[in-house]
Amino acid sequence: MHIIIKDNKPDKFGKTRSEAEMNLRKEWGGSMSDEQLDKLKWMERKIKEKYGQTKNYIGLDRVDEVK
Amino acid sequence: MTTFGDQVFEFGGAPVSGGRYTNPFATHWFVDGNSGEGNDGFDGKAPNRAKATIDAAVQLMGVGDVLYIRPKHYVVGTGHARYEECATIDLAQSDISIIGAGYSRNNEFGVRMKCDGTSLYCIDSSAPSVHVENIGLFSSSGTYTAYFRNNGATNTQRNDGVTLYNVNSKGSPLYIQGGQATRVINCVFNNAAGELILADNTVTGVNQLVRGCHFLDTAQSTAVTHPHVWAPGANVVDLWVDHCYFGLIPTTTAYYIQIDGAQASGMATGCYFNQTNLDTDTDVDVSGSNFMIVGCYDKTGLVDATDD
Repeated sequence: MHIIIKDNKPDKFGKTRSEAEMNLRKEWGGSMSDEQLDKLKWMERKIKEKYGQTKNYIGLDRVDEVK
Repeated sequence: MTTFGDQVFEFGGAPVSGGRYTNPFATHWFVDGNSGEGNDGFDGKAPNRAKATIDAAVQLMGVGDVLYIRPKHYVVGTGHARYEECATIDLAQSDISIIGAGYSRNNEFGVRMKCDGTSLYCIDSSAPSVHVENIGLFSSSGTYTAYFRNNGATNTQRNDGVTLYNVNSKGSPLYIQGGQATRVINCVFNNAAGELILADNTVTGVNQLVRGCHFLDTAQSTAVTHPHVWAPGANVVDLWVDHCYFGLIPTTTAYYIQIDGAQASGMATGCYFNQTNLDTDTDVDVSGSNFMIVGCYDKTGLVDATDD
């Protein structure tokens, strides 16, 4: 019998920063404003549409570039 | 520089090309230094199993990992208690992110680190593409608050691609030892003798961006002694200082920006200098005429580019 330890899955807390942010807000509070979160989700959606990338972590320095 | 029809910007003209960190094996790590919460005996892989110290978690981080740090509790009179420790990042730990949680637009009121002592720094990094957000760094007796090392062709220390966002550096300079494409965004600097150092005599800083930063006076009303942005005798090439506030003109070494290597070049745009009449010859020291002041203001209005 094999035991699968799900806690060791690397991206358990979130495959993207927005997913991690939502989980973080349930625990300690987030790391960005609601406006930055909206921009972040929009960037992630655009990246997924254009490149198919579904796992990433975007810094707020780039989030603030979205006008 | 808009390269995407829907207004996504990216430095250098390329379209948005994906997130910084795409390693599918990247792990989230957690640090909670509050009493009874984190413990260095925990594995640090969940908020309820957080490490107690930052360096204990950093030592476990691999390429592309993310570390979330919970602020210590606020104490009336002294502010948020600090993590009094130094974190060391090795060359192989590239692309890691160190993020202050408990969102605060004011980086005086979130995660704070303190590290004092000769050759000790809150963050001592030899790795490229390290990303730091929402953290206050304080060092009153150390040499630097943070040291992003680069030893050039030796290639055992690289700081290329380091980004700092919403970081507060207080009590000592923050030192970025040259390197490529470092980004310092929305940060605050507060130190009497030099605030942000961008290169040294052996490692050139290239394509560095300093944006939206606040270079403070001492005690809100006393000019600092040394340049706010500093790399004396060193080359900083294609530097862009954008939308920054500069306090009173420094007293001992009377330059706001001093980058005087033979190849130095760059520009300042949209900045304010708290000086009656900025003379770019005597208040901004860059060798030759390769540094332009564009759309910047002093106390008497728009800085005349012909002052240069």
